[in-house]
Amino acid sequence: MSVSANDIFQLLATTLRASCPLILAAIGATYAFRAGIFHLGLDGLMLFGAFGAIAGTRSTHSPLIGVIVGVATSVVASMLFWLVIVVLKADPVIAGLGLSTLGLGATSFALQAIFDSRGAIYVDQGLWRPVVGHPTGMLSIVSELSILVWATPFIVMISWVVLRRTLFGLRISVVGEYPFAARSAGVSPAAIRLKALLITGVMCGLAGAELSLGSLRSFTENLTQGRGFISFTAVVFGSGGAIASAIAGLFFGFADAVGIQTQLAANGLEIPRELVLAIPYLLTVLAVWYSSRRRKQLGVTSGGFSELRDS
Amino acid sequence: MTPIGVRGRVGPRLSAALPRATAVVVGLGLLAAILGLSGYPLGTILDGTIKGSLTAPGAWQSTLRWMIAYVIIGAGVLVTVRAGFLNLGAQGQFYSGAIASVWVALRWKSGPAPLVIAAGLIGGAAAGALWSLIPGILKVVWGTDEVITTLMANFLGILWLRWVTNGPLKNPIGSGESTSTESIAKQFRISSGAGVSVWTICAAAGVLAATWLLISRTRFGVLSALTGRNQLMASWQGIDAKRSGLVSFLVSGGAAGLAGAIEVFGPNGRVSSGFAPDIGFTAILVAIIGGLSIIGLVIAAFVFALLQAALLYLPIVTDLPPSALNLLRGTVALFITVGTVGGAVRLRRARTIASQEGGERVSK
Repeated sequence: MSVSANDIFQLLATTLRASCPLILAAIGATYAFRAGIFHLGLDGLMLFGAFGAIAGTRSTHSPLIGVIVGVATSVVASMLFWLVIVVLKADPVIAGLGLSTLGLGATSFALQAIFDSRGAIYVDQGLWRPVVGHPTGMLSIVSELSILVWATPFIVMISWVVLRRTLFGLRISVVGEYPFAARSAGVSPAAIRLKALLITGVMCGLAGAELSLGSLRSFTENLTQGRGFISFTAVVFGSGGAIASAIAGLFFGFADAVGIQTQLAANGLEIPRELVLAIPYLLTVLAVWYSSRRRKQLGVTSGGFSELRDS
Repeated sequence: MTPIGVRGRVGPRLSAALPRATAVVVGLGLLAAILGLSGYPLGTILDGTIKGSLTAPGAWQSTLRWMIAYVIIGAGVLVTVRAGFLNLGAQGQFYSGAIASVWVALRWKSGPAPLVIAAGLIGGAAAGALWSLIPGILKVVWGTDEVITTLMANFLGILWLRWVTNGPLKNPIGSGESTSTESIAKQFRISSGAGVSVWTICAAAGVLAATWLLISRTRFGVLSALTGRNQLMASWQGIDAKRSGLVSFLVSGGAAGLAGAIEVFGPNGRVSSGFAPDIGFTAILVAIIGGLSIIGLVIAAFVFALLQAALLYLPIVTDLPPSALNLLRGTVALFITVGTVGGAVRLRRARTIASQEGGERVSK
């Protein structure tokens, strides 16, 4: 078997397409993570975003309004999550899993109730694609990518600046690390967490919109297929750093792309696709184990990630 | 040592059950409202729910079949959560038990049925326990967050199952699309496809009895409850949390693995890729809704089994999508733990020493 240049371009293109929603959702979860919220509801938010985007586009024939509807749906769901875990003091882990399940149930149900469909609903227009029509050659890497994929690197950089170089970012970290200190300084942890979760909602809405409107132009039941959990994994792997999480998301997208390619190629080289897909999870277990071991060596025992600390 | 802590909680437990029951009732009410607003005939659905879960031919067996699974897996979850670990790994442990048991049954086709069944069930429980032991060791030795590791283990379990049913144990007779193993031999089955027999009921009852003994009549039960409620206090009293932690992970994995093996030797007779995808999460919910008590577990398992059975029946009478149950599960999960963080009725893990040192929770 020989690998041609075009195969590599294809692999890179698939990587970009597969990792964009992962990175967007991971960036969203970074805000929540730094604010001390262990967000397992990303998958649900992405599903809300994806469904809202398609439903909005179908009824208005405008992908832009579709994206807005998708983001709005996801933001509303994210506020519900804030209400439940911050105001009503529910367990963030169980509530997050509940949010993901709710997203799955609600979007599948709405698919049936609104569009009377158990299969897929399609739209004729997707998101704007700046570069189109290069099936081969170097440009095929970026050909047919939606505007959201192009925007993702900027979103990552802006998020890094916001989280690391602004007062708001500092407040988010303080609330996550030590809410007692935040409160002493007159910063309300609840308010900061609301803002962080709103950003998570926007990002997951965009991630969902990219999935449904950007690459596929359709919505099917369980469209995300657990991508929200992979994004969450990327954040844990990147230990809450915007750029590290984005790189982890890119890598997980690459693993996904390799998985797709090995499945498509199905040539002599027999690597089970499942093994490739397992890599992100295995690496994350290793990374979390390593960081806990390190903490133990340094004598810093801290609570689990999943503590919603409150003073 | 007298199990004061365990006995003394019966009273508060009853009053604490109220908010959890409310969450389920509110979830059901919300679901009914959504269904009604979407134009589904509520009367027909209610009728179908009762028929599908209790009165139609084979309906109560269907309810009982799911209840058996939820009770067994939920009992294991109960033991870990009670010991202060939020173990989310039931699904992966369930799958690994199912895979191990189907492997035993397919490898040892000519063996005497009682031996193969015993080997399959024990093997399933052992595989589940091992699957769970890894996050357990990571947690007690290095303090690696078990929420992440068990969640990852679930996804690994799903992939493992997909690989097994696609590759090594793939049914060669099925069409190219088939992703399941061969069926195990008829004489090995401990129940019909309905999943209810003396054996499966006895298994569930046995697990319940063993769990009750374990948590209320053994040293482990007392120590793990203390550690679960306040790890710091437990360590001051000289309790070694490591051993009871590992035991609780083993028990939970073993129970989920046993449930997987029972699925194979009972109702399913084989494993297929992604079967029973919600069983682990439902069992976790059931254990929490039941307030980590045995009676609560049984009641909650009954309610969710009833809904599951009804849901499989409802498409016959109305075009209700199966996703409706996810709607309910999600709502219940969102609200079921309301008030538990920092509240008196704490479900959650013990606070670690560091957060105490950090000046938090000193008042608690």
